[in-house]
Amino acid sequence: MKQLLVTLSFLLALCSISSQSQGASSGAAPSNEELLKQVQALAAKVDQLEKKLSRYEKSEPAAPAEKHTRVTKSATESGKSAPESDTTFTENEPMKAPLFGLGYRSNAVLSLGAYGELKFGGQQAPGGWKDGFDAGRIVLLPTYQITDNIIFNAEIEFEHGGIAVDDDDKLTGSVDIEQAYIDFKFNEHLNWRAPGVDVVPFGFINLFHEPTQFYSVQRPELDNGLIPTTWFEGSTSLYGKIVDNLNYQFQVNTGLEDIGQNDGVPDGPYEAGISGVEALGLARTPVGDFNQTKNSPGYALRFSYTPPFVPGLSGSTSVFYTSNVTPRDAHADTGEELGHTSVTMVDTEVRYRVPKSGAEFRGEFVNVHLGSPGNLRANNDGDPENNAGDHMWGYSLEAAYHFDLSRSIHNGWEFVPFYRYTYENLQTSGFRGRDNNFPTGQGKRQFHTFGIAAFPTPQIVLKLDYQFALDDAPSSPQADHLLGAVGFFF
Amino acid sequence: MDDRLKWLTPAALVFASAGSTYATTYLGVAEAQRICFPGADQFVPRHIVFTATQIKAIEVASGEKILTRGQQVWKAIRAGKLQGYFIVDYVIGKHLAIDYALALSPAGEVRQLEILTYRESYGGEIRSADWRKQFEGKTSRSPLALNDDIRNISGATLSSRHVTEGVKRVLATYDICVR
Repeated sequence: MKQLLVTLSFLLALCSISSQSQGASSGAAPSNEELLKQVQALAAKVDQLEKKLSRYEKSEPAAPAEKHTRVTKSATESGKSAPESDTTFTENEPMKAPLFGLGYRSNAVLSLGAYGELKFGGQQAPGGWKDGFDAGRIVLLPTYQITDNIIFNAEIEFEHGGIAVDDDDKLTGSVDIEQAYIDFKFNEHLNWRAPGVDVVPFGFINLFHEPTQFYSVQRPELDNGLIPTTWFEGSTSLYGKIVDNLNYQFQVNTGLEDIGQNDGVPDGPYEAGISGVEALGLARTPVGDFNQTKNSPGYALRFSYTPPFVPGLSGSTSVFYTSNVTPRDAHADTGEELGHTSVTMVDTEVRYRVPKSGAEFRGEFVNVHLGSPGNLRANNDGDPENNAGDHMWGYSLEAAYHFDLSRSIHNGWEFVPFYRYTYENLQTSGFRGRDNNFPTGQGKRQFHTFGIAAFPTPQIVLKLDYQFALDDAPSSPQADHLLGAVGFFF
Repeated sequence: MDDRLKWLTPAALVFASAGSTYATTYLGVAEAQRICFPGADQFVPRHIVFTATQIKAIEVASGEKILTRGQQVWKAIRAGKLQGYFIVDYVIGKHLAIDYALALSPAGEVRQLEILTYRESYGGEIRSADWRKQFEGKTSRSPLALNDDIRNISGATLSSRHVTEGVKRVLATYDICVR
């Protein structure tokens, strides 16, 4: 308000000075008629300003000034409003800046989201149950819209509490850059994700793994090996819409590699990246320091769909292929060189929320085909129990029901009890290689996971679940768990 | 080496297409006005600057926070007769703003929802006609709740939720400031 009064006074003074200087520069005193006209003009201007002031006073906004400034500035920078205001605004109600709605643009603004999950509870182990706590992950999500069409995204993840140099700090986690890329948005059908670090478009959870997206404490079991979630690679993508309700993403990435440790293949024994025990859990390629061990890229293609003829249904189908996963200098324990093997993966998953109901169903199927299993390190490492066949596969079925109390109670929570059945077979037929072949049955697994997820708000979830883990080994896997978690995403 | 040069082909195609199709704003305001009210011969601005009382009333009625100082509203007129209201608004999707327009009948029922600009990398499914059609006929008395009268799109949950919340807020704004 003060600013406006000062401006008003300044304008009046300016008008006054202006009229005086005009008179002076003409070299002759103005006539009474001229003076009268000037006074009338000034009076009209004062009247106009008074009206404006009055309108401003009546509509003094309560919104923060900072937001107003940002909106106005952005709109001015965009220049988008200019042609529109010519045709859609009258002169007495000018849209000086589109500060009412459209004007906000998030470019030149760094936004920082976050998600995380903190877990606690007990896990069964051969020696007995172990109770404990895990600061599973805290993830920062910076986004910066550089222009309307160029957007930077990243995901910086602190796992298991982070890391420390000194051992006595007792931090054995990690700091990962799981995503860092720049999107160039051309149109709705074609956008380019420039080379960077990105998650592989395969399945659903690998792309959308915030804790509010699933109900169990741990990520679904299929995403813990058959899909090496979080599966991120050096990559570049094209993505967009094919038609309404059908989107695609095609990614070229550094692919998988059959080595489960960093720094390349050593002269002696080394850990397999793909095995009948860990599936592909250790096969992700490193994203740092040109440490990838093979030249063959991977190709991933994902179609996602929301068919309008089945309201509430969403799903995706993904394919991944790489012509070789064998690292340079790969060898068997006997010293022989290992040849190439391809990997082809297929995933189909659906999510169905029954319209106007709390019922929800999810299902997923994954198949991994290994081109030449005889060349896998797991089949040549001297361990007869971790061998892999020519393919691995698994599926899961899940049912959940949403009790949304917020519709009947103010600030009510949403409770989601759920049950998920998972079957995996990581040791099918077709074993080849130099190892003896004595799989114990541990690759044939079943999981019964049930529990409840409570959402105080859509951004926060509290979880509690129990999981029965079974396999075909003579002794059970002794890997049940009873876990709780606090998750957040905003 | 020749094999490696082949890798440049997709990049070249991307750059070539970039030069000709560089835009993510699907509709401008004037274009959306014509789509929502094809028969209108005039759009008369009736913009609102909120008072503190109005902000409070809208927030109570809709349960949503007000992000702006006011609302851009136009009256759609045909041959001097009111056809409805055209309102422009934005919500934040996951990180970035989604600009959208809402066309209301003179009685305050949603005639049409149009997404003007969508900036996020994921979640663009909310632009599909089927999803937007669910809003038609909604009023400030409708629940406008995700997974109730508005279907969630899995994989576009945040965009679905926030646009639904935005529409609820705009309808409350209509009730309190425009009607």
